[in-house]
Amino acid sequence: MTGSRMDTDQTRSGASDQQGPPETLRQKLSDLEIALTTAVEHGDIVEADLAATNDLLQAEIRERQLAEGRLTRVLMALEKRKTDLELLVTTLTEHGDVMDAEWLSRYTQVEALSLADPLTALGNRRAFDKALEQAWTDARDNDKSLTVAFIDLDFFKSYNDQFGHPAGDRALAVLARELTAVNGSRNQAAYRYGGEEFIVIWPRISADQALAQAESLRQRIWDLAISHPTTPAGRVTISIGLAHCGGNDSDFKSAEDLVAKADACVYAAKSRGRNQVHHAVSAGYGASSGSADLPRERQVGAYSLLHEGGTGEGLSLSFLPSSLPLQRRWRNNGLSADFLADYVTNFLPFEETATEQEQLMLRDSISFIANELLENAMKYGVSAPGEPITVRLSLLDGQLVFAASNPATNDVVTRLEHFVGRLDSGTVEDAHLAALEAQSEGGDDSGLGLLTMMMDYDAEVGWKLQPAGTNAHRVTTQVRIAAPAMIRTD
Amino acid sequence: MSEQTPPDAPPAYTLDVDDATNTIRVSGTLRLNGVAAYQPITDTLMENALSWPQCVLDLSGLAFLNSSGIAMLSRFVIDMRNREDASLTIIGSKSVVWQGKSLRNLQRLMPSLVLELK
Repeated sequence: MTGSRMDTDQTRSGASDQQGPPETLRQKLSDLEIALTTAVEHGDIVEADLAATNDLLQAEIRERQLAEGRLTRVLMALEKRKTDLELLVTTLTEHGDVMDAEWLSRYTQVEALSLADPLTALGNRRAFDKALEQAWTDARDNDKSLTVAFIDLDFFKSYNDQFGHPAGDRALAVLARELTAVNGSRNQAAYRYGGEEFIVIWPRISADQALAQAESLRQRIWDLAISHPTTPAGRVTISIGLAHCGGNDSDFKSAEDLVAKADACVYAAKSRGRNQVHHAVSAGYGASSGSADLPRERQVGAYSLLHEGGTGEGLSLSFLPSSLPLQRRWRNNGLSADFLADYVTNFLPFEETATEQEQLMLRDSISFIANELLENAMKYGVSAPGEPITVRLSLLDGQLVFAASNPATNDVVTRLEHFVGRLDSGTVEDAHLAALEAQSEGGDDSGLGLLTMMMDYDAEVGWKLQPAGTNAHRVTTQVRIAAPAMIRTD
Repeated sequence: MSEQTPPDAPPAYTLDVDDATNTIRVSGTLRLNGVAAYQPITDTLMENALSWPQCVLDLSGLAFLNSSGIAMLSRFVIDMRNREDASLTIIGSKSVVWQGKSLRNLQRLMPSLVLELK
């Protein structure tokens, strides 16, 4: 356009300045007109082209606006779906967390229930097995002591039969409560082993402490005085079998050994008359209830003393009350009264035909009688606390003779004094019946256990009044057990 | 009224449809194996919910619901929300631990959902 305008100006300028021939001017005019026409037409074309382009652009804009609208709606839908999905994920996650916590809670409860005894709330047999394994590993790895004690409710079946199972359950619950009270420490745990049997694990305590705890438990149950009239004691009692492993030097080589020994001990406690603690200690006192490993010369000396009973003092061992507040604990140079039974049984001249069971029963009987004598000496004032008691045993005319006395005063007594009158006019069986009657009437049951033992062993009791001037209630009492056929008396 | 007792998911769940009150009650323990296993329940819910002017879903007796179950329930709620004329009420129980949080989340999916925690 600019070029055409310049050409036109040049043409006009040339026409006025040069004054050329008309043909030339016409030609120039024609050229100019053509140029002008061309320019105008070109402008029209360009304008039309621009208009068409504009239309296209406008259409595209509308199309894009429509597309943008659709895209916005899609984005909004996607945003909604995204929000939904986020909420869904949150819901699922939180729901999963809640359910997970719920399952864990239930699992924990079920696991606790699987290890608990529902009646007593103590641990059950499964819990005991797990705890024992742990306790044994701890004791072995650290060379520490471990005690296991079986506790059995005496005459529980007859208690159930007489008072009904609900009452039996209550008695079990009471025992569990007392067990928990005695245990005290968190590391000491009690378990219901099955039926009327309970078991405790006492790690890292001495044999003395274990025996004291066991005795304390027995006494607590005794003191509750839960009536059980058809039994010799007339009340609910327990028998305890205790096995103590003093460390890695002990005879117990496995947890099973320890439990088996405790089980044997509770059996022994029952065979000795129940309501007592029977124990086996290894690497503690240097003695176990099963077999005391005495030097041969001491055995021979004691045997001689026994046979000299007819002319001398027999075998005399002095016992001092233990410093522990337990009447049943007596010690002689570190040995318990129970040890006396081992001591004697170990050198008794048994016949070859005597079975191990017969020897064990005799040993238990000796232990029982020795304990009875010691208890009664204290109970009836033969010996004050702190004074020694001498238990004398002898083989006399084919009989094992027991007596307990205070060496200072030479008073000798057992609770059998209560039955002197009865025995004076009858047999041991009569006295036994009289004692049962007295007990059922709520009277004194002293001597009942001993009388039962005497019947089992066909024992005799001899007595005589002390010389004039002494306490008339005190009698010199001897328990004479006819030496069983299993003992040689030659 | 229908009752289902899957043999592999004791204790069983119960699904009751009460046309008189437009209520679907689900109770017991729901722990079907996977989302696909919940399809029959989803179908039952949708079929009834869409035929009623207002649907009440009573979950107060549903003690346990696994993750597939809550996913199914979430989808049901979304479907209901996407239908402008749908009305949904869910009844839950405060004593069932999972319902407090999970049912409130369902309400976030469908703001018009009426939630009653007894």
